[in-house]
Amino acid sequence: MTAILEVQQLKTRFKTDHGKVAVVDGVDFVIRQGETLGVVGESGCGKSMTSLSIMRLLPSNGSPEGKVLFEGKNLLELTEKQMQKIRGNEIAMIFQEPMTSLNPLHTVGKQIEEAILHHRKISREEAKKRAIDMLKAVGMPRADEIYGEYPHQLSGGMRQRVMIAMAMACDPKLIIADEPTTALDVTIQAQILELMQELKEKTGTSIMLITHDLGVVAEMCDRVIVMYAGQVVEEADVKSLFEDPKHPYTIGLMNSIPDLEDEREYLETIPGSVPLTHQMPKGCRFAPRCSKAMPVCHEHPPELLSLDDHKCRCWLYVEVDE
Amino acid sequence: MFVLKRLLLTIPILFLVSIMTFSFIHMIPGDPARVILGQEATPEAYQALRQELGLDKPIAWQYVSWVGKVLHGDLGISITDRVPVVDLIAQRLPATVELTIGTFVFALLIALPTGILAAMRRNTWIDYTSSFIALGGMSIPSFWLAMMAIIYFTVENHWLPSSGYVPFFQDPKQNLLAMILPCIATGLRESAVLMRMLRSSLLEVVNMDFVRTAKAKGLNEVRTMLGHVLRNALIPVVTTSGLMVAGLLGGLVITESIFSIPGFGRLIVESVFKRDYVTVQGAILVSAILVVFVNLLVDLLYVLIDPRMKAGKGADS
Amino acid sequence: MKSLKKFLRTGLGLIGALIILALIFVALFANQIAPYDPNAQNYDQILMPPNAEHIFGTDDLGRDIFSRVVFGSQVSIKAALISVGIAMIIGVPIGLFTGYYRGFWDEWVVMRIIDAMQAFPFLILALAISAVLGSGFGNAMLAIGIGFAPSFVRITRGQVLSLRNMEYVNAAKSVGVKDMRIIFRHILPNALGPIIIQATLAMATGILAEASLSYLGLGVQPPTASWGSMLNQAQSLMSVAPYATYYPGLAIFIVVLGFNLLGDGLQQFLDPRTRK
Repeated sequence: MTAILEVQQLKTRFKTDHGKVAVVDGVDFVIRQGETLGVVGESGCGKSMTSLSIMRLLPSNGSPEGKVLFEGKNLLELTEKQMQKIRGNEIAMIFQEPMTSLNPLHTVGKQIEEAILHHRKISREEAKKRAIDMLKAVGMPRADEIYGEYPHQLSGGMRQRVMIAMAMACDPKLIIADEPTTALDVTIQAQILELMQELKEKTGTSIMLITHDLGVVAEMCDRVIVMYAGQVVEEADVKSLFEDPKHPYTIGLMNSIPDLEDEREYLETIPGSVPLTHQMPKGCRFAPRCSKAMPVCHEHPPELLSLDDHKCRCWLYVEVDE
Repeated sequence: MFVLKRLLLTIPILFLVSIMTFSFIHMIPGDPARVILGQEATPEAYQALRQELGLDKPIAWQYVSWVGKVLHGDLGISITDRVPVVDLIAQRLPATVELTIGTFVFALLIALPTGILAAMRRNTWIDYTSSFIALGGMSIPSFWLAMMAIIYFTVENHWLPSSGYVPFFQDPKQNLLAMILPCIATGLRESAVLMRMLRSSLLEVVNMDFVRTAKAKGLNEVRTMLGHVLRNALIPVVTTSGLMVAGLLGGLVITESIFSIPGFGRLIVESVFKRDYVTVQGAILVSAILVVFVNLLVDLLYVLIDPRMKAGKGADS
Repeated sequence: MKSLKKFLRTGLGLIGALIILALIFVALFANQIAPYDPNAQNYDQILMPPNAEHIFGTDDLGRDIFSRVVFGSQVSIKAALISVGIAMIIGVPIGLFTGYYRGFWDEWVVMRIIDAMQAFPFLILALAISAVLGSGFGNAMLAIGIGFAPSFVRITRGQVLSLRNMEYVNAAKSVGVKDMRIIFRHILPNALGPIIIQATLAMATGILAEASLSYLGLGVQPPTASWGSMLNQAQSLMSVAPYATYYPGLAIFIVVLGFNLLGDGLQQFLDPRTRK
């Protein structure tokens, strides 16, 4: 399979009161054609900033460095105008908050149509037909009526379907979904995930799925990267990640998933929280919270190592000659 | 639902406005009839005026009969001119309405582009300069600005007339020429207020999620601004500009005096100096009712701009 | 760059404060600063354009315009303080109590009265009040103060509404602190920021309003020098002595700008949303 997106040494820095801080710090990964890549981590670990860096939609005080190769073109070197031809057309995004991600003053139909008209040279009627078809494709009942309705008339799940319809409207090659189900009820979550899976199989789009929910990853993804404090700490295909997690952080995340068949009395948690970007530990960034931390962990940052089918950033897997 | 509630809410306001206006004559220290006529008036004239103003009756009865007359469009007879106050006001209103519209158009012409530009280029020198100029615009006394304009455009260069108002339908060209300076003099302050409001409202909307969605569709900055940000940002601005009408009517009192425009504001000033309290009373009542109705209209306009209002839901959903 | 921008934002407020300090200084030492008696008429020197002796020129009664502008600052500063003082004395307590106790009085009496009062155009209301009370500085102040009061009720009430359910207020209530003490000790100090901003901005409007009333002939009465009444007298001479209109207006503009800059600066400083 060919790579559709290759991110190399992505470093995104923000100008803040504490000077320039890197919220994404040397991230590498690849998304192949038709593949779903999961990006997992706690909030504040740089997942969303990675996706906004790819789309170049960062707040004005943030700037990305490195390479984001989309079909071989480095997106970070494109002009804003060239980038606008890619956004919504070749790479589309689905956001976390369906309640606020739609413009309250326009009908949902118009909002889907807008994306189509912007990227395709077709007539208004054709665009309208396409928008209604998209609403049908995302499983909306009464698509013709919904076309003329306003976001506030729809439920959260329906709004997220609209967002998906909007994202799929121009047949993008890659969809970046940033926590697409987090704001929804559990039953609706399953429906939305199922819909995304179905559409992906139909169209062959690649998906970058950002989530903090390992359950969603297990269900949806082919491969996973685990991010911590702006860095990739583990990368593996979904099967080996769940069967044999390497990084103590990944293990911690897995142990904190509640499980019905579980006989544990307490749910495990990872003590502490993600370090602030301007106060990064000088060794391994996870060391202060890690139960297996060794002296070396506090002194030197580990490299991302390749181990069989895994990549992992941890001193536990380094043979140190002493 | 919202419309009905909003309509009902104007009733207590109008009621209180009527009480306040009614009390106006009774706020005159001492005997209003005596104050109006002066000490030299004959006892007959004094008694006649007391009767005309209804001052010989109990106060509640006076109020009810006054409101009754007002509801029939009778605001009393001017003390000095001996013509119905309604006629006086009706004569003067067209010029004021024209000035109000002209001022708003001028203010919008300035405020819309500068407000949008300042918001799009926030925290740059464009933003700082325009914000500073706006504060300056808010600080210039309109009557002084009017004088400076007259000195420059009329006294020194004879470019524009500083007086000579004629009704629009009599001589449109002359009318519009005479309106330019007054509209600029009053509108500068309003444009500054509007621009500042628009800027902060735009900046609030710019950070909303749906704006990011619009950008993720591939829209450029201008299309995002005009298609998604502006309309949302205008909602609070429209409401506040309704409130601005009150300030504007007040400002016109002065502008009309300087440019000798026979408008509603000048009528009030003239009547105050002539101690024609009945006309003053009628005029302030009309001005308050105008403000109440403009604000009602603006709130109802909401329903057209914001689809969320139709469903009776608040703007927060 | 960051600090330069920060300075531009708050530095403008500082300039505003300096302008106000200068105004206070001029008003306090008017006797020392003014070269002439502001009311001394000199028929030998009528309508003199600005010159070495009279740097702003003289008016139609031969009075020194510079001296009159200097003494006019006293009127302006009094206008700012008295009108806003009256408005605050009326508005702040009403806002505090209605916001704290809510209920029928708040919803159906006070707020509706405020709505009705704000339906009257401010300057027209002030005009009408000074019409019935008679012209003069004191009545003009009363008129402007009453006109301002509703905005103070609103801003105070809004603050109290957002503060009355704060945890520290609930905590004080739960240990039996009396309402009066809660209102004045716990709520008022925390509501003060926006009230002070409002007061600063109202002073700007107050000076403008006093000048407007005096300009119309309803405020300060002759021969007292006030910027508004100076403009009133200069207006009829606009074609012969335009300079007589320059300086009083410029003085109003600068002083009002000072209060607006300070108010705006305070707002930037106190409102975390605009402080970035």
